[in-house]
Amino acid sequence: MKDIILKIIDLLKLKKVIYGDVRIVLRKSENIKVKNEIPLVVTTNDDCGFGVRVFIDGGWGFSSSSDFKKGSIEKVVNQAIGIAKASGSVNKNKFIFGESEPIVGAYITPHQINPLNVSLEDKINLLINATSKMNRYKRVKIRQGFIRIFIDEKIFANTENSIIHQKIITCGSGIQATAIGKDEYQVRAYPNSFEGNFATGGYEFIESLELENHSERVAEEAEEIMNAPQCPSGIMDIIIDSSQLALQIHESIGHPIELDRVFGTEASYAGTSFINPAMMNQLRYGSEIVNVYADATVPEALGTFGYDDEGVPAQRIPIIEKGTFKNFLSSRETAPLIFKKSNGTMRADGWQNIPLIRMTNINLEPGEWELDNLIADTKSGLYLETNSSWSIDDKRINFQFSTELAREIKDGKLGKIYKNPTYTGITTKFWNSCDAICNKKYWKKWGTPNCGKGEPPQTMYVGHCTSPARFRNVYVGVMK
Amino acid sequence: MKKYKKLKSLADKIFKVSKADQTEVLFANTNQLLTRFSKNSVHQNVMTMDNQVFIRVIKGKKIGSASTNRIDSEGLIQTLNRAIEIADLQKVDEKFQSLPYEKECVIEEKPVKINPIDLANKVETIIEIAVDQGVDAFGAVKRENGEIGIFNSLGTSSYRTSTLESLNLVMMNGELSGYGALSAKNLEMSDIERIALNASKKCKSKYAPVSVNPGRYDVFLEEYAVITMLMMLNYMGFSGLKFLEGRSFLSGKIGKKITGNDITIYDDGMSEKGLPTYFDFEGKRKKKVVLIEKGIGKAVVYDSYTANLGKTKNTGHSLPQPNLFGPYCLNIFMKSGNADVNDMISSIKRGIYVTRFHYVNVVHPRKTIMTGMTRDGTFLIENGEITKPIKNLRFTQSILEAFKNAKMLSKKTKLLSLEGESYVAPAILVKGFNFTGVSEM
Repeated sequence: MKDIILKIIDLLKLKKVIYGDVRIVLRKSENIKVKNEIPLVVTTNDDCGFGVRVFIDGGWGFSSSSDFKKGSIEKVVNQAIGIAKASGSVNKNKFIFGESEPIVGAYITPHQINPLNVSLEDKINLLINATSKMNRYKRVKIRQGFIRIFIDEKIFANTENSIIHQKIITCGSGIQATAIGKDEYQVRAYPNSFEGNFATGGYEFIESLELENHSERVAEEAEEIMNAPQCPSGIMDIIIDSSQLALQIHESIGHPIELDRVFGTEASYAGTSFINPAMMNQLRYGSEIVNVYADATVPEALGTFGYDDEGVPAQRIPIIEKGTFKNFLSSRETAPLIFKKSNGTMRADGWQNIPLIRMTNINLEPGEWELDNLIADTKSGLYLETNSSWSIDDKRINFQFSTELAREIKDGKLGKIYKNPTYTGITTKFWNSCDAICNKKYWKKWGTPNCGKGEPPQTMYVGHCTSPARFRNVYVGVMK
Repeated sequence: MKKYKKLKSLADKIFKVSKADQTEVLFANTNQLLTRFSKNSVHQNVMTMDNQVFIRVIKGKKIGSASTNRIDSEGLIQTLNRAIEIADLQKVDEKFQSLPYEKECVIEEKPVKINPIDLANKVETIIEIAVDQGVDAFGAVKRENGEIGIFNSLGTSSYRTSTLESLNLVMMNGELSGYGALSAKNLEMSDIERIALNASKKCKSKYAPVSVNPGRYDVFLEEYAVITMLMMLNYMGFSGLKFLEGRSFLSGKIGKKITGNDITIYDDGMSEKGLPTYFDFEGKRKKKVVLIEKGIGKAVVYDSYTANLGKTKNTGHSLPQPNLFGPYCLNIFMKSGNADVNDMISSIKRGIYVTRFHYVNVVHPRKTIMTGMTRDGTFLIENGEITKPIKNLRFTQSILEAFKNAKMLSKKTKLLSLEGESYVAPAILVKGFNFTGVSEM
């Protein structure tokens, strides 16, 4: 593969492009879904191809193909150049691209057991054993288990003489119980909704989830939610568990800080952002205790890698410090526009897509509280667990989330369960109402393997590490 | 026929060497060019050519599947062997009966030329209109040629090529924005100009957007917003799998009144008025299925597996197998009404004009309650006239309830293709639509 990529780079130099880069990606994946003890989905996929991105004559162009034959490679290079020229024919753009030293590097996700080397039979049995324990809960009609594995092996090279080889190993797993009644159904999941939790690392991550030990609790809680009263409506104090808070961070901090969104390149699709560059070091994003970092170096977190898809090394950067907004996620093209260097967040979904600014691991730093003490300190409110639905406006201001369940907090103690809880708010008001964050002991790494962005749509693996936290005076129970 | 014969011959080679009882091969090839623009400038211009092959094998009642984008003989045989290995490791699925048989079906559309200059010209036209109107254009124009071939060892041979162009456009002017979208085999320049002008008009107002209090309002919903509601309804319950499991809003509601009399929704993968798909991802010919007729729940759709589960007929609605989604509608139509759009707006004393919805998600699937935001053209209607732009609103609303309260449906409909699904819908007027929040700092 190295020979091929260097030949393409030589060809690009010969064609006198101002800038060019090439990625060859081989993605091997496995997907197992067990439903009511039947492995309904057991499938593997091999996907390999290359993408060529160029800037020439005032425009960007990208073309890609899964055909590695010599004639095809030349065709793709010529197409990328032709497309760039067509872009430039609409209006000539100045080539703004942050400087970078040539990088020769390599990165492999640290791991003990390659998850693709574990037999399919073992993985299927793991899920069947975990979910079959739900069988005695009669209202639980659907018992499901999931394992997904993706291994991306990719080589990146550019006309600035960088060449980087990476192997990113990601995997995850989860179980889910669905209790079904006459007019409704309720889902309870472990360790997280939407097929579980995901990480960079080996099969040891899946084993560490101990699915079997959580199976009966999950089924029991699914039935309990069915019998629970509807979540009340009103203004309340809420404590959000770390898995739901991860998605809250994702939607109301992670997306609005993407600098391409800020500059409008996602405007017609995913939307823009309420933040602009003038707000750096000015905007009171959250309360004094809110500290958020974008950190692509956290071991095992899903958004961890060695280099981004522009060849920029993975970094840890402050996003919010003591409540004040500090930094955007940026690329080599966007960072110079705010007089900064790229902080290495450009990633592409496979070989057939161009890189976009994507979240890495956007993490809320832990606070000081023990969870028990935080609940004891809350006179009245709700403890919200595990996401079931999410929505936020195109500028990332007004959000609404639903969770699988809420637990009543009364006089500092957890009480009954409520079903169908929702909460809604305005991003900065909400983060400014955060008055307590649990300590490092509760800080968990959550993987979001389904972050969508871009046209054509791309899916990216991103991470969020957080402890549970308390928010005051939040509107909950929006149903009608 | 040449391309069809090539894929059929590849499939036949696979069937010849396959040691499985039944074997299915699905070829999905795409060639797509997409030009994105932002602030009146092209910022992304990408071409993708890809071939995907999915092989499913049945041994006894054990099922294995594997896929690849290598379409040479070696790649295909490796993938077949992998699928067989998986089947050997599998547990018996007693609910599986057989792959379906369908007689040969070959539909070829002439491919369009994928030329970056053609798309650049279309974008240039949009940008010229934006500049002329003093606004900024953001969006994407896409052109693609697709090829699907589904073959199985029982003799099913279903093949089609298709072409599609689509436009997605937002015009912005400070705090205001307007939207337009189109899908067609070929986008005519006159249609592009019309959409661009209309979106520009929406973001030009002498008023800054005002905030209105959440509450129940009469709404005029443009076709884009109605299509989002149909997408959500499709997700929440037109599938035979969800229906049989009691997870569909139609479970227990067939034959019962669930919306107003004016609402008829059906799926028709053969209709040239939409973007026909002709057969499903098991090669089975599409049947027209009336889902809701004059407000009464009528039916759901099935693939071979769920038809067997439900002891009913396969309607030709399989997604690529294997999957946990079950069957799915890909060609939904909502029957139009007789109303003129201007009459619809003028009948509203005080209400809200909604162009489109954003980031809609499910709150209660059996009650069809969804939440989401308005976007790119939300206006106040006072005494039958659109008076001023308003800040975007959050709604938390049951779709079936909204369709119960639908009082007027437009004569005209709009066709949109959204990630493989196509929808045709009119604009509608709904009484008492529930807004629960407003977007403001």
